Amino acid sequence: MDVKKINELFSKELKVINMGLDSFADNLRKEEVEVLHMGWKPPAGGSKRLIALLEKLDR
Amino acid sequence: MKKILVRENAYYDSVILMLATKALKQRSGIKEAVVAMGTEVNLGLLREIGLLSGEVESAKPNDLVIAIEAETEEAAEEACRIAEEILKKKDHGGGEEGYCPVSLDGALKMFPEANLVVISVPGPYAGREARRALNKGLHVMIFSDHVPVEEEVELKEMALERGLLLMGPDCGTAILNGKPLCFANVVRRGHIGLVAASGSGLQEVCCCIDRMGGGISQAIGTGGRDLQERRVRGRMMLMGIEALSQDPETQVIVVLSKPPSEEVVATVLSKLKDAGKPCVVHFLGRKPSGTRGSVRFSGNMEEAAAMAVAFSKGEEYREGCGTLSEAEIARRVEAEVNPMASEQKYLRGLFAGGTLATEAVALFEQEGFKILSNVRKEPGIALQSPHRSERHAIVDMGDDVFTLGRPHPMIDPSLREERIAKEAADPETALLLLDVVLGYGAHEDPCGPLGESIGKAKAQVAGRGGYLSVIASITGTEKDFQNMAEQKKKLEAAGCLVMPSNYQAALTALHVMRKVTARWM
Amino acid sequence: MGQAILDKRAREPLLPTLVGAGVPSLTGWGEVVSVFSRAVNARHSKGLLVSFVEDPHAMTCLSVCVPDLFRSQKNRLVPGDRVRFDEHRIATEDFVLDLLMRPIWQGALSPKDVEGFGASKVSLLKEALLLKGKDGGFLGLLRRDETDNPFVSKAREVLRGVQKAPLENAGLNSLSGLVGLGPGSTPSGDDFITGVLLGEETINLLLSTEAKAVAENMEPMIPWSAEEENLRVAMDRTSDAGKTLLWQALQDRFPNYLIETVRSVSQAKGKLEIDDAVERAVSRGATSGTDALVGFVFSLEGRLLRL
Repeated sequence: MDVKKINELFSKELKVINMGLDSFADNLRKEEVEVLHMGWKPPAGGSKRLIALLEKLDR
Repeated sequence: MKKILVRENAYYDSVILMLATKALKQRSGIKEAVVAMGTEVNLGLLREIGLLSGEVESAKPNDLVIAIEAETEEAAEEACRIAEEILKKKDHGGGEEGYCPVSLDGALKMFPEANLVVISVPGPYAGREARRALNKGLHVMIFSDHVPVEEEVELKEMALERGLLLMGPDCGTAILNGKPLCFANVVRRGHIGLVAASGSGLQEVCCCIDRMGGGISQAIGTGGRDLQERRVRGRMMLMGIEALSQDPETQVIVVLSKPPSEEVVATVLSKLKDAGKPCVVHFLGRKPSGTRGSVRFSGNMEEAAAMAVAFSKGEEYREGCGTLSEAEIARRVEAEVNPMASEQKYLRGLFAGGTLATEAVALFEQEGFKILSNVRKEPGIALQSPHRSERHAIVDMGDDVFTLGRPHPMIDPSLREERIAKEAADPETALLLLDVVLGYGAHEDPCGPLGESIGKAKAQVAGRGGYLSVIASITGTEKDFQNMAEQKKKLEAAGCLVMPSNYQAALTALHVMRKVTARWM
Repeated sequence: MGQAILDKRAREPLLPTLVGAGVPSLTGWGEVVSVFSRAVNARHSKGLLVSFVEDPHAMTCLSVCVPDLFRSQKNRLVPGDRVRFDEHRIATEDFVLDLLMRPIWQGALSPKDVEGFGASKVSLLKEALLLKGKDGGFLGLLRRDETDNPFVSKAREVLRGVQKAPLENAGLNSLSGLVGLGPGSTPSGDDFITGVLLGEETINLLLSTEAKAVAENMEPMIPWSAEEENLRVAMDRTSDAGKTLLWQALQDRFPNYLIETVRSVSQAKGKLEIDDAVERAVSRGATSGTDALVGFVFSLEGRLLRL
């Protein structure tokens, strides 16, 4: 079980990308964590078929 | 002194480029400054005026070239720095604050140093986003629930392969590098590391540790299903324990979860033994079963905290860490029960934190009370309808059945307020047991509205000639933004008995209920 | 715990209000390369930039006007986002634009746009330009004085060469030497050439059939047939923005602001209106408007004054 990267994270500053509720990003900023909030929306208008196609592109 | 910078594939607004050129030319000590695209003819021009060198020769039409001729080396360096500053500010244009990229790729272009992605998008989409993040080598926290268990298994396998954290799905709480994530409290930094499969449980234990003078190194959430679901097999719990055992800052490891299956228990305990550090394990609702080498079992969450703090100080743990003396408890219990009307005989627990409710249920059952609840689904134990309390009842008001279309009680107290009124209207209600959770994610003033409804409820019962006892605990620290001291005052002003931990509140409630029941003997 | 408190955002349909004439013929993949507060540019695999714009005044024949894209703070594209062009559909991961049946924007100069244009207006235009034009680009070409702008010096060199060279040798010292020259993400030279082509088109529309015949017998200041070939070749040696502009101009398509400027000057009844038109045009980009109008004046002075 290789946990090197996790221990590396423990020794670095957290740099967060937040996807979803923007209050989570706001709270992180209050704690002086560098955070980038995304304007996430359901992909392909929520169309399952398009999502499946996009999945194939991802892999 | 010449200095030339090339920025590949740079797309800037011409106005910005003009500003940059002007700013450079105006500086004293600058003889010539050219900011232009790396087209053939521009490069030719630069060559003619003697500003062409090395890497600039290979610049392409869509690259940006900054060529500076200065009187001194320092002036040239300074000018370059200024140019970079101006261009960085307006990188990718817009010039507006709070610019929100729509894709993870876009986000990473803006923020390549990112190391953690926090996902709270609807469950059906969360898995896909988590997969992408893992593929990009990022650690992940999935706050979302309703992620299919097959996806969870796949994601945790991926995380395992890549050696990355995947906290979740349904992970509400974590504290990494001293920073609270999602629903979490501000706690002291220290040497106790935790891995938990429960959000509110993690909050409770961390707050107790803080209150007792200890500190947290890391608090890793695994998601609610990590140890329960046969197929997930505690993957993240095991990774978390491994990471904490390797972490030089962590001197004590605490594990918190609902009781897992036997085989998972075995692997977890084995991993803990190999950690080479003192460990405390709390399986909610289970009584401690002795020690196994350096692994100690605690009987409740507050005890888990107390043990951990003792071990982190290199001390032995001594039982009985209650804040109040026996005499004081007896006095308070008298005061609560004496004014009650004869019909009043039942306990009604209304909880925002599922784990806190479970702890209360476990304590009462261990002491021989029959509790009806929605924290377990077995017939005879489950409430017929979670919306209606019967006999001794403890209700998790964060359950899906309550929160469909309504905010969770941790965020919005109105759900519980309505229920409190209902219980007060029932002449058989003797005692209300409540939890209040502070910290990030929670309501900014939970005890304001709660205190008011407690006041109203007590008045209503008093009007009938009875007395409603209300006991509560506050999960939080004085560093949380809600101002814990103020919150406590509000509850006490309403006549509520406030205990420092969920366990002590449940224990006090137990004493009260014993006395209430004794009146019938 | 999360489901109840998770946000449910409805996806807004994005409707283009105007589609540039060059867009529906595009197929293939593209990628967003730059994002500004009122415009997003996507680079098509051909090296041309297609822009999504908020303001119809910013239209070119490779633009799509989609105000909805800029409405919400959070519905933004970011560099790197992929774009799929399928003739009458443009798709990104987050929205689909249906171009079918949407109003087409041609980007061509029409005879109505040049009604009223004449030699006297050209000198007024030049005066206004010298006064209000922005420095840093090719404005210096209209002045006689020496400037310290290396780009202007270079441009002068190129143009002197063009004027001197006999028709057959229009290769080396052709206008194409200006492609990619100058500051700006669209190099000044590209804007200048666009202005020259705009001037040529204006003249074409102004001249009556007989006058055209006479004009054709005169030696053009800038030999055209040889020029165009070199320009097309030179297009690949400039930035995407420059290439996109030139590609359109070589097909007699111009950005909206230039068409509007020609129209305003044609309809102007006096100096003030011309001043206003020039002021609006030169506010474009850093020096884009200025450089284009310099080219415009340049070509008009050369031709019109000879008539």
